[in-house]
Amino acid sequence: MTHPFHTAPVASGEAVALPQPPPRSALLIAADRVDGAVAVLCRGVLLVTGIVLMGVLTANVIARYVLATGGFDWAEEVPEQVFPWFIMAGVALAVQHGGHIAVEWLLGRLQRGGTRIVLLAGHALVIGAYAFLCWQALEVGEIVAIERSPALGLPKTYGYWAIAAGCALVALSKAMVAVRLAVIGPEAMPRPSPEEMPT
Amino acid sequence: MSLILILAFAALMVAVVPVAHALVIASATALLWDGRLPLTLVVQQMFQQTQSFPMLALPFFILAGTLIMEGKLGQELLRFSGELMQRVRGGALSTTVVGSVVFGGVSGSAVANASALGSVLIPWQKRQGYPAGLCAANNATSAVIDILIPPSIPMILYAVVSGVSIGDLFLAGVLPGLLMAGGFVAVCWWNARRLDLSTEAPPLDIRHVARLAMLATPALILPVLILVALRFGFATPTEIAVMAVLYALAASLVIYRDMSWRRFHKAMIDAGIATGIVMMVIMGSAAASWILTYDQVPQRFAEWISTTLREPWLVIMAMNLIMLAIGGPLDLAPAILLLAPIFVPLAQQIGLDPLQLGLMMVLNLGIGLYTPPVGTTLFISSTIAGSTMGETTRALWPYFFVAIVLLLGISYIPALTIRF
Repeated sequence: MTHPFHTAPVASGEAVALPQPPPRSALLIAADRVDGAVAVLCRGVLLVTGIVLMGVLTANVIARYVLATGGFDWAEEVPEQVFPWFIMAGVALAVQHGGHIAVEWLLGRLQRGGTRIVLLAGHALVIGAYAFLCWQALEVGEIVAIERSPALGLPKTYGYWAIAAGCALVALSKAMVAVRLAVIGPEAMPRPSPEEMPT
Repeated sequence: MSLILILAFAALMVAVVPVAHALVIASATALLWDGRLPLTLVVQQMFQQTQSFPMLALPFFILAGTLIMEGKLGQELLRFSGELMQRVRGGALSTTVVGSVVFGGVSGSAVANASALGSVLIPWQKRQGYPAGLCAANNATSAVIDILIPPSIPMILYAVVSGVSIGDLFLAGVLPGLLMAGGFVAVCWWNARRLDLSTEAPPLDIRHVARLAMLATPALILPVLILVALRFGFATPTEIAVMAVLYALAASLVIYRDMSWRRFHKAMIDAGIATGIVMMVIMGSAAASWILTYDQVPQRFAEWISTTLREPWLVIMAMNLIMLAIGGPLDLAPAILLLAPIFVPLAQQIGLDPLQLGLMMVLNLGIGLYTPPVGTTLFISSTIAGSTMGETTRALWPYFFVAIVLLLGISYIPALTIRF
């Protein structure tokens, strides 16, 4: 596909050069790449864990009516391990899409500069808090390593790793939004599509 | 500790920090301030919510709804609704109302409904001569019927917080949903009469209607199947949500032949993001609720309200007013998660059925979705219609009237809240 800013064919068949877009700063290019990598990772996790959850829950319903044992012992343990990864991948992607709900009452009363400062301060706070939560989740994960599920014998640690990974990705995604906010301004704030809104 | 939590949360909300993050940060701040409890409590409470089996129903009901609404099945539902209503005065507007009822049976999200129906029906309604503001108001308000008809995402959230059965809530929502639809159809008729707009539809062709009904049947029977499966205990709500996804996939693959890997992939990602948004609020509110419960705030609030107001009807009125005030600026999901833990003990103290409170809460906070100036469905509908907020708001009043009358009915007439 031709980039809309490069060249465009005209009626005579010749191509006319159109104005070039302003060059994107190295910081914005880096932010795009980090976001792209996070998005690919989270989408992959969502798809795999979503299909696994569907498969396990379906198999358990079928097994309940077919097997004399009335379902699989491990059917509740798999979602316990997998659902945290599904959730945290969704949480991180929602940050990129601007999906987390905020009350924007103050923004309507501020000038552009003030809006940028308020949003940047909020982002800095969230980045710090989630980096701290990531560390806390890893610590608790180590403590609960001795608690194992009855059927599969899996430790609760993996679930806490999901929380830790999710918090790290939230902090990273927030940092990339903050970069855009600083370089471009408040109009760089992402907005979710209606399909992504839960209620 | 709770005072610090509330102050920090309020300050963060004003500073435009998203609700979910504000809850997490405010909880951590309160624990730091107090110093007696470990900070790891926040992470532990967050993790605990990811282990909730009923919450697994959330992504799958969203996924089923997306798969149906964005495919040919959704289009057939819409054609069927249009065919049913086009001969009634105000039928073009009423198609949105009836469409919301039938879409409500497959989707649990009012915002998705407002976008899906509005983008197709509002341009058509404008061509029929209806003012843009009225089309927007009609779309914004009708979308809320979606969350009263099962499956409903807000009802799942309330069920998880309050302990009320998801099946009971789903069934209890049907009658209020239909009553609201009836009231809104009457408003559409009144608007068409006021604007002197008549209908120009071809004569009724029973065969054509029957054909459309048959094509829409797979979606029309889904809510019935969900209620029957819940009522007779064939599976848990979570498993039924997965079955709904498989049903939508099967219908799209076999009957409508419009399923593709790309569509499934997009629907799964959208469902994942929507789940992430809700779950993050749940995880944040779990830590905040733990702190409030530790300080016995819900119990003290319940005692204070019931001794101050004394009469149960006054307490119910106060709860409704608080919800209306909070539901305007705050979105439905966080409002339910913040208010339910406080209001359920209060309801029990005055003898109000938590099921009835659940319906009150979903309808009341649903009104917040179209309350100016920040209502989500109001904003989406005005954008699609190209109307100003003022034009839309002026057309909202009759709809508000119907919704408030229904809210009062649900609040004071237990018979409107049917149980299994």
